[in-house]
Amino acid sequence: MNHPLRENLEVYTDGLGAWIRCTKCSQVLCRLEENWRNICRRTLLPPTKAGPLMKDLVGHFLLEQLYCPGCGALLNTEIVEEKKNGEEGQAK
Amino acid sequence: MHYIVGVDIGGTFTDCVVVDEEGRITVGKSLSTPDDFAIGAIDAVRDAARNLGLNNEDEFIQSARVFFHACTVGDNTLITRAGAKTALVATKGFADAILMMRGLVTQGLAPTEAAHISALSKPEPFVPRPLIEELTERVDYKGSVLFPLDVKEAEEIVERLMAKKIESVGLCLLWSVANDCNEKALAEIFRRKCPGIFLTLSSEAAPFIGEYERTATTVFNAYIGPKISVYLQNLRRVLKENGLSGEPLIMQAYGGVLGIEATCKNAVGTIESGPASGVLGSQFLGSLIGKKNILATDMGGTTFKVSAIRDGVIEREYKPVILRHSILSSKIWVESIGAGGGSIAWIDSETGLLKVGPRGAGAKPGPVCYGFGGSEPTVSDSDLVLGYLNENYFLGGRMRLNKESAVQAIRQKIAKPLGMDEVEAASGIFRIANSHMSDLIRKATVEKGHDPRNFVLFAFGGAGPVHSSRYAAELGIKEVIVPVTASVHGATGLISSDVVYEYGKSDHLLLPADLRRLNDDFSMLVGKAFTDLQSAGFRDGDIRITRSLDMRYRYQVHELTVPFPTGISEITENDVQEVYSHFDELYETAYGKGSGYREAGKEILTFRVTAVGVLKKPKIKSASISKRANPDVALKGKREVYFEEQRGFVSTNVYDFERLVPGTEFGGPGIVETPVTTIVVNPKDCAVIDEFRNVRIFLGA
Amino acid sequence: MTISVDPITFEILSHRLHQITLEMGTTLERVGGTVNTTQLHDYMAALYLPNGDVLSAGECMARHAACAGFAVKRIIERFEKDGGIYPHDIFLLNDPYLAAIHQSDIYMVSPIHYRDQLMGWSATFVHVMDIGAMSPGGNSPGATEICQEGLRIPGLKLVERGRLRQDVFDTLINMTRQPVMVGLDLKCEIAANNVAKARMQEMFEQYGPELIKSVSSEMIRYSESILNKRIQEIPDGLWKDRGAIETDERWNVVLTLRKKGDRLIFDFTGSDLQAKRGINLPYHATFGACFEAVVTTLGYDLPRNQGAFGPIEIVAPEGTVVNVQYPAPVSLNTTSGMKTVQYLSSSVLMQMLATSEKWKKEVMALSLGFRVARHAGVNQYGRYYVSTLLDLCGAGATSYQDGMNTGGYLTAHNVEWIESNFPFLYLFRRQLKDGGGAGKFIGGAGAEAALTVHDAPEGKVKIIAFGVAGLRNSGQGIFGGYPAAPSLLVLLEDTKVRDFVETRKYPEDLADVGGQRRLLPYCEFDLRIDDVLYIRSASGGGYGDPLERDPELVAEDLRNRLISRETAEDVYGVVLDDRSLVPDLAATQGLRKRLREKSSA
Repeated sequence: MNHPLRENLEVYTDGLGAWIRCTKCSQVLCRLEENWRNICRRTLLPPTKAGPLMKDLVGHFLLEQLYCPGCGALLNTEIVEEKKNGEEGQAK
Repeated sequence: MHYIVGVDIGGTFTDCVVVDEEGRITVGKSLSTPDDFAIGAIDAVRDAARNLGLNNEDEFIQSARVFFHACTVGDNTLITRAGAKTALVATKGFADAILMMRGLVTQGLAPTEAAHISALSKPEPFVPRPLIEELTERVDYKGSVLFPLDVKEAEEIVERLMAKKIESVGLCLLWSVANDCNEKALAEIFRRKCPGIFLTLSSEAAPFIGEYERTATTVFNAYIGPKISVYLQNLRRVLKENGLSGEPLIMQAYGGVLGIEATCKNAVGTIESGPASGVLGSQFLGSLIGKKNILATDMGGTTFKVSAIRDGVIEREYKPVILRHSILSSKIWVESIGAGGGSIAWIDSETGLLKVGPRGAGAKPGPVCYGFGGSEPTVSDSDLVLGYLNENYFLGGRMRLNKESAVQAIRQKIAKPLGMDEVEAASGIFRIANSHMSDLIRKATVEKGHDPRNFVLFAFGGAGPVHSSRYAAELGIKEVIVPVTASVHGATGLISSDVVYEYGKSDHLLLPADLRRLNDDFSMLVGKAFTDLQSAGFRDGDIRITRSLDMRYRYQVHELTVPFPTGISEITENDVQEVYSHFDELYETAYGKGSGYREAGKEILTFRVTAVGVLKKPKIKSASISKRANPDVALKGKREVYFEEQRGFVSTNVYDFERLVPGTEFGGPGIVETPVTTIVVNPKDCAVIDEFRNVRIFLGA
Repeated sequence: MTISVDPITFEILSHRLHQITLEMGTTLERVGGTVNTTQLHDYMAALYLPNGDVLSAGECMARHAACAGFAVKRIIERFEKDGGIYPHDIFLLNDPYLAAIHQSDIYMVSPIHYRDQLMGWSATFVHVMDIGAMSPGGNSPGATEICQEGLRIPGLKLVERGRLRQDVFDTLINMTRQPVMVGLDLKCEIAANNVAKARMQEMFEQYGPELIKSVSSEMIRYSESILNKRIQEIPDGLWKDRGAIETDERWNVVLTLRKKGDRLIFDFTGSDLQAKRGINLPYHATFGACFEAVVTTLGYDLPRNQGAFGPIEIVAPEGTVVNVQYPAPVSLNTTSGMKTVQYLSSSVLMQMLATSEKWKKEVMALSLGFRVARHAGVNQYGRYYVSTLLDLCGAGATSYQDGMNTGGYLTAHNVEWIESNFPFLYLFRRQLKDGGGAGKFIGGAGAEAALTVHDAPEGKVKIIAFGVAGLRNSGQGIFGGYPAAPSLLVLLEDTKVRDFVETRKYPEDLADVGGQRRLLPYCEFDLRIDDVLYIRSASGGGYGDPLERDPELVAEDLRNRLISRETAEDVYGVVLDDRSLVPDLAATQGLRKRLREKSSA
């Protein structure tokens, strides 16, 4: 059964099972049971990329964005913790 | 011979009611002329003159003391967004007050809409943000000027707005209610540089605390003011050309008339002034027949409205919600829902339940039986199927109704899906519609602390008298009255009105209040009242002034308006103590014994003055009651009518209203047909025609 | 759908029963003393079946409807065994371990008898001004155990067969700091329950108890069957999210939503153990949050009753922050823990709704909450007072419209009202430019305000700063949308604001007043005459990619002062003519292409 998953992602089923794919470029990301976030292209940016009022978050948080590996469509934007040594917090 | 003439301009018809010196009522009617409403008004007056049997029409017109109602120009302008190009000037840093509102964005929405959070939005502003200018100035709560008005900045603002071709400006500065000097200075700058512009000062339009509501009132006034001005000036001109020498007086939303100049200054007062006429008419009628507690209900094509008169006084509100905005304006309190003759009956596809409204079929296409192309069954269609309406005699015979098409529509769309016959379906529609109306009346009266059983119910509107006995019975009401003037109740209100000016001002005083300050606040308002009424031509003997205070207990929220006895003598300590005790009593009556936190003390929030210029009231002629009046002289015939009590059709007497004489009594079931409405008397009820030819229905008698 | 009552009668009577709960609510609003009750609708009024199942929860907040379901059942359990349940009794309960979310919510429960037969119940709660806790008002940041948070009543009989037990009444209010006001609130609850009893008597007289019983069970079946059907239509699946409750410490909450057929299971396994701060949620509060998430989206048009609880199951391990046990405290939970759990339960639900063609239009960006400040002191009239500073928040964007600006939650006061009651002077209060999260659809702007002490006899006002602290609060974006600006409480200490007032010059920019800027954590302090307090509420999160927002809309946002020039260009990639602000579509396309390449590289 085909159904949407979220903006720009959908679930489609064929003879081989259920897959998650991009609605813009039809690139298949992974199986339905897998975590599509791990397949995405990922960037970490200073929080001020989201706007000037995010400046209070600088040094504590980062902006994490996930993109379709095929066409670069933006799939997710989230604030994640910035760990002391510059690494980011746990992804989902 | 002197005449009092009232003209009520409606969407479709313009009604005219004339009362002569002997108290005889004559009615005239014509189609409304939206391109220039004044024309339709003159037509209606001429129609009345003809019906009076006068040879010299012009003499009649010249001797008339005329009242007009500003129809719905203000309301229409707001709804269609056809107002002036309006700007707003606010204190720097507080320009967003009108946009932020008070939250509460569900005010004015139906419950299901209000619960649908993801779809909620705020009403579109009448002044978009780019047209809100910010001015450096600041006054504090005591009225101290903290930052003076920056004159250079003000001039630049005026120039900017002139370049944008602004037609109307609202000025609403923070705390102008405590000290209006900056607002007045700003107004001067506008008048100097831009003499033609329509100016509204918040300190004049709504001198009450609360910057959001005050700004909203100022904006509404600025937005509709120019259109109202043009309309009224034109009206006066057309009347003069046609020989009318009287000054037209315009109904205000609080139930009183004002001259054209005064109306233009307070354009907000015309918003929802239509219903005000009807309620005034109810109050007048009530005083004629000795009824002091009245629920005035109006069931029209689309909307059902209820207002309350308690102890002869019309229930008012001072912070009404208009188009989802709270404004600070005196208004007759009216509750309404989408329920009327044109309400559409439909089946909810998900649940299979029968629903009625809130969507309506309007005037076009209207109910299926009207034959204008309507295909969805409505309440009027059910009324026809159940036998309440006469397909051959509707609107005084002006219109034929198509019963078969109503039957078909109900059968296909309601009865079949529900697995019942069309009579059961029509009866269901009838009952659901009635329950909506009784629930609204119940909700409305509970909120005011009234018990409906202590009231009589007046039924107006085209569909009202068909349904009223049912929705009244549900509430335990014992008497329903269908007034003789039901068809022209708006115009009746006009001719029974006085000239009324309302004044008010916020001044927060903790008790014990300084008597000097109290008297000064009132003197200022009373002074204005005398100036206005005297220039309107009233002598002191015809002026009545009533002063009141809005008060509350400290730390509690509910405010009540408590009047002083009518008069303007200096207020003494004794006088205020009496008012304070009266507040305690009123509070307990409204909210229950022990509900007031008296120990916390009281505070005064607002000073109000109602100034009445008393006009000569029409004397309505009452007929003598005939004890042996026989209803049969008015019998038109019989027809089969459905009554819930019989669970079926019963052969029912149909009476011609014109032939019923005062004193006639008959028991239900019965139908009374008038040229404008049908009155249904149910099996266990009893109807009496009183000395004014009102139809009085006693429920369960 | 087949029902045993005829559809017309069902329509009329179910509406009438609903009306009775509204009348109860109106009674609370009219007789109640506090602003919470009379303006913020922070109360509940409901009707129940004889076994305590919720029959109709009116129009109150859905999470309260859920807790109401527990309150009556607890009273039944206790008094069936001991004390008895008689006509015209009224019971009182506020124990957070049993039914209330925190002690300030006092429940009154009243049996409804007809001809001496138990026919059902009515119940109300209001949020009282004080409950005798460590801190005035109830929210106690210093409490480490429940016994420091005021009276805790598992159930007592306040009115016995129509007679108020004055000794009990006096004892209860005696333990609070506002005995008269609390007494008024209790009286208004008694009044509201009496209204329910009277109206139900009329219903039984007019229609007979059998018919009312049939309509009642039908109402519950109605909500349950429709909600089940709607859930059934959505694809099965599993969705997760995690979050944290923050004061100056942090507790993690984990949630997995499993949908199978018409069942929804919210599983909080993995969440942290309960805390020694009042952020903990009792089970029914967690249930309430999940219930609210479901019923305000999938069931916004359905009557709120036991039937709507049916499809929902909660797994919340005992002793965790989402299922608190004795002796852990709870008084801060509505402004901290609840916000996190509400966010998470909505978040997983939004992910579920997004998989349904029919329901995806209900998806909305969510908020993690906002800062709140209480203030107390002597006002300009010499009177001591306690009050709360709260402003309007922006709503999250959806897939088809921008979030509403400054629309919630419920209401806020005019500046003039505040300045006439409290010793403050506002420098500004306005919609927050660049507040709403960017996106294809922008989140709603919240509000910002700056105020200073004015005409305070003591020259200061005490401020208690709490709410959802940390910087990860406010609206979060969804499906690519950007987060909103954080909700803040900022103290500018030792500023030049007095100079401005004395020389009668207006500070154009807040920065002009100078002073030391301090982001406030949970704390209490005195705001003095040289200080300025800056308050910023929550704004809404954005939906989707800002680079897909219609350039015309971006231009309008700029004209409406919702965004700055920099944001229009840097975040939305829109190039605008300097003077006319008309978008240059070709240049915009180019800039957006460059920004996209830079980001995803």
